[in-house]
Amino acid sequence: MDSRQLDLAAEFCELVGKPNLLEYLGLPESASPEALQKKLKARRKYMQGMQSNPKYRAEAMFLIKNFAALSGVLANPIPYLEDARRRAESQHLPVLEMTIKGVLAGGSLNYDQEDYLRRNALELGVSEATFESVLERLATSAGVQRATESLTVTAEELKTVDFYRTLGVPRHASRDEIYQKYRARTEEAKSMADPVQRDATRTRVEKAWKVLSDEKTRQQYDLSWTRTGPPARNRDAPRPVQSSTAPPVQPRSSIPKLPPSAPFANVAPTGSHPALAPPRLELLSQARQRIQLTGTPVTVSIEVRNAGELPLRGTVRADAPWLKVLTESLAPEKKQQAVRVQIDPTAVAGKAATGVVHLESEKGGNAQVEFEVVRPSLNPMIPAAIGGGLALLLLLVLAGWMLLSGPSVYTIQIDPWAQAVLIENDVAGSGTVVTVEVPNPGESTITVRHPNFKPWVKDVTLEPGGVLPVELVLDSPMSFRPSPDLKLAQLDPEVAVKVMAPFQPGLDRCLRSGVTGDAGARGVVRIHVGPEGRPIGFDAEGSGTSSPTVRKCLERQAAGPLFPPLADGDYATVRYDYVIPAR
Amino acid sequence: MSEEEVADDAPVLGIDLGTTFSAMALVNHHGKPEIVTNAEGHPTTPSVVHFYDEDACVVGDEAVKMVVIDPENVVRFIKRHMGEEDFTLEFFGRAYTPQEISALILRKLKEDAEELLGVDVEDVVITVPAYFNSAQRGATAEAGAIAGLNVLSIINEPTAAAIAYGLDRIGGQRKLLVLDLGGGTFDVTCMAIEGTKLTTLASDGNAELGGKDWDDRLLNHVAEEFFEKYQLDPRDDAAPYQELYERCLHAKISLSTKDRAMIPVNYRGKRLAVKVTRELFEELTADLVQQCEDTSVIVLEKAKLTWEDLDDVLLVGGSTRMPMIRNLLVRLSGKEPAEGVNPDECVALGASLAGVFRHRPNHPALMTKRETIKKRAKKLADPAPAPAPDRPRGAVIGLAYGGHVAQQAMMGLTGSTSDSSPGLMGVEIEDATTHPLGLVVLNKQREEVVYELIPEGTRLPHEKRGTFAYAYENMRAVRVEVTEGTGTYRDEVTVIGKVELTGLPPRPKGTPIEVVYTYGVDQILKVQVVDIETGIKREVDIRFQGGLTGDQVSAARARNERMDVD
Repeated sequence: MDSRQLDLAAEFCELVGKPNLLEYLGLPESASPEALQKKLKARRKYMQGMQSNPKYRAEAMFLIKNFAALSGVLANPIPYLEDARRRAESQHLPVLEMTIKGVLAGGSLNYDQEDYLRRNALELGVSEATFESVLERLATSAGVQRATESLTVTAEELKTVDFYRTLGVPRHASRDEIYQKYRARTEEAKSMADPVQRDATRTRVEKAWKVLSDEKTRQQYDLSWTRTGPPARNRDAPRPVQSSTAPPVQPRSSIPKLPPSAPFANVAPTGSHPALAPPRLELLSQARQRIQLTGTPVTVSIEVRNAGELPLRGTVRADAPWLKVLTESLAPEKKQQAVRVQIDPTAVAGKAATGVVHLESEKGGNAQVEFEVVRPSLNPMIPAAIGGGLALLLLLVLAGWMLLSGPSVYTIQIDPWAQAVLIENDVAGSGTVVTVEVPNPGESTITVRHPNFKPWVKDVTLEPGGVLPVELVLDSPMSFRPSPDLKLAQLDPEVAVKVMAPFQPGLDRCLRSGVTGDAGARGVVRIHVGPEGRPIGFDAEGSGTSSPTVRKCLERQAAGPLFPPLADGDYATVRYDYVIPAR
Repeated sequence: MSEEEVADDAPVLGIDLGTTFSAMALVNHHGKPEIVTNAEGHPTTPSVVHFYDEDACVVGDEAVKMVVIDPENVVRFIKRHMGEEDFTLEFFGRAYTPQEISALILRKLKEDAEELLGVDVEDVVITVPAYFNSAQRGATAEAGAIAGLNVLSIINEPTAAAIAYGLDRIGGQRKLLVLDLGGGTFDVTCMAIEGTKLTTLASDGNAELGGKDWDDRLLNHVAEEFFEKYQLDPRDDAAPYQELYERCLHAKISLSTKDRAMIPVNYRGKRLAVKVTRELFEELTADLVQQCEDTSVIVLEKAKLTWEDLDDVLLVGGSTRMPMIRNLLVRLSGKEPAEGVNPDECVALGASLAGVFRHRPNHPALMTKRETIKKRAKKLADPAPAPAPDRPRGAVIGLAYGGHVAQQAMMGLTGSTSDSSPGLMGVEIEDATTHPLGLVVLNKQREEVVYELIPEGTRLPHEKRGTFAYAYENMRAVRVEVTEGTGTYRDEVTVIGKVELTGLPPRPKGTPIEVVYTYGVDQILKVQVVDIETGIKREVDIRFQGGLTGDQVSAARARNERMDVD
């Protein structure tokens, strides 16, 4: 196996969009050289019949012409795989290093930033070990302390905190098991909506990992912990997530109920009638709500109840043009009701805005809910990147933020009266609304809908503020989703938001017909958008194969603008992540 | 017919070895070329080979039928791979080069012709696209040799077409543009008929553009439509792909006469009929037509002509039946393309005529023909314009050392176009080189650079001398590396041959060495290297090689003979 053969193998893998030849042949790394040769030969034979096929022509020609080289490479699969890995890493290492430096220029490195960089590295095909060593080296040379490093586990904590429970592993768990759980807990923490909660959980999990990952500290901890006895029960167990935005609802059972009709029929007519309590407007939802804007209008329910006994009459109005009141007046007879308002993101000017919904009753007093809407920011690290003078490059890599979509189980917070739940940063890009249908509060069937996924229906007991894991399975044969991260020639967050267009049917067609791959293949297609909002090119990476058809199809689609027009001289890149599901 | 002396009227088969279809023709006893039909009775034979056993294959219509059943053992479009190194296909455990596969097609043609004519056919003239480079030409010649044929010459397809078209017009003075869009190759040639001379003025093209690309556009469109509906891509499986390809091919053909065509797709139990209108088809292939337009414009520019200067526009190749190509030419030239030319057959017809002109000077049928041509030539009032005088040019002496020839000082270099080409029955065919020829020299920085000796577009035959010189003291040997192609450095061009002069006495730097390139109409380049002081010289014929050595050719020929060709 000489370097020319390895070069050819690498070139071929790039052509077919596979990380290495073994994956191209669909064989495991443990496959014997004989099996590899046999499969390669069969593939060549098959490709002979495909050499005039426009979709496979390039692959067939390469395979036929360089069969000897590829076959020579596969004679020694182990050194070849090493070489393939090295190539993948060395190709992307400079980009990764630049990105890390850009982030480090901000002077600190928190969990989110580190996670972001790790995702980036994995997306670029850099192994975790290499990533760790690079990060370590660069962080040390830049004098930046890593978040995971700055954690100090106090002696007190060593005695009182049950780190095993924090991670949810038995005491005799192996390091591998601990690692698995640690990763799972980290992922869980990341999906939390509330940043304070998120960081707190992360800190707990990281501390547990710090102690348990090292054999020596683990031993010490085991000894000290055993000596002082088990810590207080549930002290550090993962608790149900309580979001700060969740309305402080009372348990359903505590809501006072009146008999359906003739409220006083059973009351003896003796004595004086007790005076009915005057109506009183009570706000159940939070008085301040923060909403992340998406491309589509969001409907928010404001829960109110009548704490008195007499009918509650009143009106609802809003003081911002983007707040549209759907329930304009209160239903007088209802003890508890939902006032629905719609937030129209297109009417919101600028990055953030505040508006107030006024609930004014005739006799029961007033209430108001303040809405603060924000457009999703590109990334908290952008200022650091600009500071580092690496904005463009970083943004390019930033696009990797969403690639690793993580597990398909998502945790949503249950509000029995909610009609829409915002799941951040997970299911289908930041701020995508997953509709949760709860026909009537307290009913036990919950349905979760999202355009890209099969509806998820489950019988559950709904408890306010409870946590419910939702498993979403892809519905369409292939799912593409626009990523919120964009590369722009000139940094202009306003443009970035504008380009985050909803999915285009024409584009969808191009991607669906042009991207193929085995089940589970995932990757990303980037479409470069020109000033007029037309696609001017595309590139793709990942384990699927994207054929020139995508480009040709895009060219045909490009007759009309697919994306909102950009400012003169601006170019943008819109990312579509794809996953090919099992057939 | 004796072995040594070839009879004056021994048949010379003109073969148009096409990407998708091949045809053959023979000049009859009246001097008129006629198409020779194949064993199935068709004027053209699909250039498709199906290998159904270790040593048996079938060529033509039968092979086309098998493509949907056994796609892995069927070869099509092999012409696109002629001259490609490293390209071999494997059937039943045996590797075949493109030359060998083409040879099987040639054998089928030869055997069918022999059966029809009842005589042995040995001598052939094979046509190639004008834009073929020497490796591709060489490979074509090798294919002929492997098939057991005596390839008298390899001629350019547009030249052949012009001969077939222009024979009756010889004696006049006409300029014509030949646009040849076949199944897999495309070239545009500008030719002049001046008096009795047929001259190639300029030629350009693309060996990777042809009707197949039009089919592919249609196919991609249909596959995308199907995918949109069922999320299945019929291109992903070999046999359904081939079936769909056939359907698209037929739809393309019917779109030439009809406004719309239906393409039925049946794949994995899902069915869809895709309607394609001519408008949509033209939209899908607009860029291909644009390529044709661009090339035509470039060729005219190279020939220093305008559309008004052209007398005729000749459409050759089946793909020119597409109205979009015809319309393009009408729009560009403002003339209707020449009538009475069968785009599928005229290349083979012209090839058979050229074979007789060049290689059967005493063919009885031509004696009468010659008389008519001469008469017409005499009628010509104004004499044919004198050929452009060879430009005097300064050139460079090189210094040669151990194989390198270096550029050092300016000295005279004589180049002269030989005017002594034999009159081919009063019809002279002048081909032009399509790629520049040169040699590797050392420049002042001692880098290996290419010195162009015969530029592109030089009319054949042509002789050019260049004086070069020793690059170092006391050199014992000189090696001239003959290059083909456009480029400044050695890596950018193809080295097609080497001539070594050894046993030289030691002498100082600057000792002159003369290099003579003679490029004949038979497309053979003679390279002569002469040491002027001692008179030591060496002459080598560089036949353009397709990549096989003589031994390989004879081995392939032996193997080929064992093969059953139906």
